[in-house]
Amino acid sequence: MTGRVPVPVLAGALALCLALFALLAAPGLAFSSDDQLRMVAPVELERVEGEVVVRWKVSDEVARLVGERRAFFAVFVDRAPIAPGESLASLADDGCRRAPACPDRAWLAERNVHVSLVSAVRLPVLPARGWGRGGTGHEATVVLMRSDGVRRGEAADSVRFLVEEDGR
Amino acid sequence: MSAADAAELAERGLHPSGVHEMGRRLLGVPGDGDAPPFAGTVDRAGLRALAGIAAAGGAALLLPYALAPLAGPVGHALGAGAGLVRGGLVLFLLVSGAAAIAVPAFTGARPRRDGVALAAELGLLVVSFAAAFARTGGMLLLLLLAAGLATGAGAAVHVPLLVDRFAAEVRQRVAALHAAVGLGAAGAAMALGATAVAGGAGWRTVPLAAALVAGAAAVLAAPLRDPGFGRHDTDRLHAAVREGMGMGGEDGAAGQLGPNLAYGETLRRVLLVPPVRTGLGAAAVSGMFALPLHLTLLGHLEAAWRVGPAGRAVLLGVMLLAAGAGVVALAERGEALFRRSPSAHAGRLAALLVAGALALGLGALLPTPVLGVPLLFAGLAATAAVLPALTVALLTVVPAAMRGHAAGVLAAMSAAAGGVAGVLLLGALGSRFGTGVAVAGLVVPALAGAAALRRVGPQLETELDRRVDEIVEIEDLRRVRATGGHVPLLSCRHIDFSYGLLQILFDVSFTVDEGEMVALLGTNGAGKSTLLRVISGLGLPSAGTVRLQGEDVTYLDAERRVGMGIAQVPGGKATFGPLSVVDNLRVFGHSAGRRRDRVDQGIEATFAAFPRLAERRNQLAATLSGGEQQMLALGKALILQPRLLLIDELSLGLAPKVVGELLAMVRGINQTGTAVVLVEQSVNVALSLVEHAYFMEKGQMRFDGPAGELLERPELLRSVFLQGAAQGAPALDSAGTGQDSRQDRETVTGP
Repeated sequence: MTGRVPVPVLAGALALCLALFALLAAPGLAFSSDDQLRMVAPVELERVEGEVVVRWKVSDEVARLVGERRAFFAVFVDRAPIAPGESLASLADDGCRRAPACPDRAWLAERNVHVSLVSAVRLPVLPARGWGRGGTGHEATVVLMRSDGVRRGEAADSVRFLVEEDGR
Repeated sequence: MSAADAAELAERGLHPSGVHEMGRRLLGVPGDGDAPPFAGTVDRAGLRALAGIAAAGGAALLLPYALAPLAGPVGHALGAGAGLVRGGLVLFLLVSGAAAIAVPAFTGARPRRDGVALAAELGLLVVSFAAAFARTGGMLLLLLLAAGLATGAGAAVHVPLLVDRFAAEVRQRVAALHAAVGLGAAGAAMALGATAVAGGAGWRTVPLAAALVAGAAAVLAAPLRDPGFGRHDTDRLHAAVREGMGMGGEDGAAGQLGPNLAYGETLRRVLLVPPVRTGLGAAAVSGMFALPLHLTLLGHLEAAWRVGPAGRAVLLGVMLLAAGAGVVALAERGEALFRRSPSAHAGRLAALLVAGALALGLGALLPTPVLGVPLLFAGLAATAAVLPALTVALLTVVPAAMRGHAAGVLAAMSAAAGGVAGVLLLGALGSRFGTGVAVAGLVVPALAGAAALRRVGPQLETELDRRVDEIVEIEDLRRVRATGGHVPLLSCRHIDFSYGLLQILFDVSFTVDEGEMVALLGTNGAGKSTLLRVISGLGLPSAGTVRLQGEDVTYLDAERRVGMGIAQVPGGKATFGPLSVVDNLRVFGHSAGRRRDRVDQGIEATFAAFPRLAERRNQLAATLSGGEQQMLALGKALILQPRLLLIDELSLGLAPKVVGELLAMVRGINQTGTAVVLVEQSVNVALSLVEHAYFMEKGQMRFDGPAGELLERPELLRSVFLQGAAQGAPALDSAGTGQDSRQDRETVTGP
């Protein structure tokens, strides 16, 4: 291409650069779906009446971490989860930061973030939201948190469900 | 020149109809309606080139289409919602459109599109690879932006490469194959990516796979070589015409006569080709039926038919693959129709667009996929067939070296304008009425696009003949130059000009010889000043050419024309009132890029020629009398030492004595060798100075001949006199040439 450097040499150099980049960048990234977290209820696009309980199953490793209180779960309802390496404290606003022990479980729940040490959370009343004609239902996303409140890895799963007009 | 071309020309001769027939045949419109067999026309090397370009085009769509159904998992993994990928895709569309327009700025008039295609592939390889390692949403957005850059760069060169690489008789099919590979790659990426993730692979493996495919495409594209501009059509026609003129028909050395157009000038020139301008709307509508529609359908399959995440990606992916096959199947008939009549072909594209939109709308509104899926497939195939066919048709009538610019503009309209408008329209309709109604709502823009396509057809026919005329004109000029024949200083041929939809000039031709002074006469609103604007570059024609000593300056910027020796004194507003006389001259000198010492010399020379200006050198221009202001305007023009001076309404509002002085100055300027075009409403002012006159009426040139003969055409001059009378001035007598200064003043002072 250049007329000076042979194409195979250029291609080799490019491949080497990409390989080096991959070696440096890959640690901590998930290249397979390891089923650390898998939503089981409600099922995708299920119509829910009454109380909504979101449940998920976890891998043995996650169960062990949670059992040892080295990790817990956070469920984000109708909002994006925090990024890996980010802390729940990053959600705090100025008012929260002035209060001791904030953000706590209640403060987070008011903002549709539910923390749990078991593989299920009972959601408070959700507004009715259907599908179609602009309705996108509700979405719950579960992620794994370290005991210090920082999101652990990229493991996440989400489910969308529909709440009927008179449902909860 | 091929033996067949030589034989054809020998048979037809250089008769205009013969050249037109041959030109249309070389441009792919022989009028026979037959599409020659693809296999017999495209050789093995051609197939390799096609594979390289098509693979490059297909690889460009892998990353966005692979990520689209994975918006949820990707967003959640990176701490963002599904909106991360969706927003990234909108960004991708915008940036790819911008890149498609910008890339020809770097390739310019040199044929190095092969390098751009390869660089785009390598860029996609690197970007897709890096996307697999994105740690934050911001990083992924940046990488999608970079993917948009590479995709846009490819879009600007792929179809022009195909058009220049393949003979006209297979171009529609080749472009359809290219589009089909793109659709197939998009569908495969969508289906395989979602399946892999559902099967346990992480989403990061998907961009890795896209990088591998981009690498393979780069290997296929690497041997590609730019074939040059117009190798199969315009080059051959140039050579055939040269042969017909007995000048030797060797290939090459085609293109325009004159300075190369800068990037902006070329873009403007391309946008002034009527079918391109009209076709932009259809291209934008086609863009709505690409990624925005596909994303909406992805949601619709889930919302309306409850298809799961992997299932909907597979279903839509398969539909896109099948639609690609449909595009190829439609192209055979399209090729034959285009060869018979571009108008009929454009009409068919309009029908395909509307029928496709209807099928999509109906399919999306049906409650069951059993009937809905076949309709969606048919709609996807029909609508996807429009853009490649339209692009090839439009590139056929664009000068060969400007095809990259035209393809870039069309790609930009499709991706950026159409894509973003599609996302907004479908999003707004979908959130209010549901995705089914949103898809059905695309029928409205489809109808608008079809209307544009129907207008494109006849414009294509006219433009085909214009391209051929242009080539004949260029070769004729070459012949005249080679044989030492006479080339006029200024030659305007067949000029059309419009302000928006209002056409002002109709097929106007106008010539000025070196050192000549001519009068351009006519009633108010006849188009005289507009013609001057076209000559000086302040207005660009929609058809026709402006040549300065044979060099094509039609689309050059006004400032470049100033450098070539064209200066204009605009009527009644040629000075800057708040500036002093000397500053007026200095500003004008510097605007022409002169050095300070040269500007000072020019100013002193002007003061020597106009002593009255020297006396008022520090006086504000606004405080000068009308005659002095016109004198200053003439002086400003003289600083440039023009070869051609265009003077618009010099006598407007001036006393006869002053007019007489000014005319003496104009005569003096002309005697130094400067050619002068004098635009006047006052017949006797103008005809007292010139030997040759032109007369315009309602945008058309009604008279071109000796000034004396114009005086014998009362039916023409009457309109000027009647206008003067209607404006309250006493009408001139039928002679019209009386030197009665009172009458003259009354005529020229009309509003």
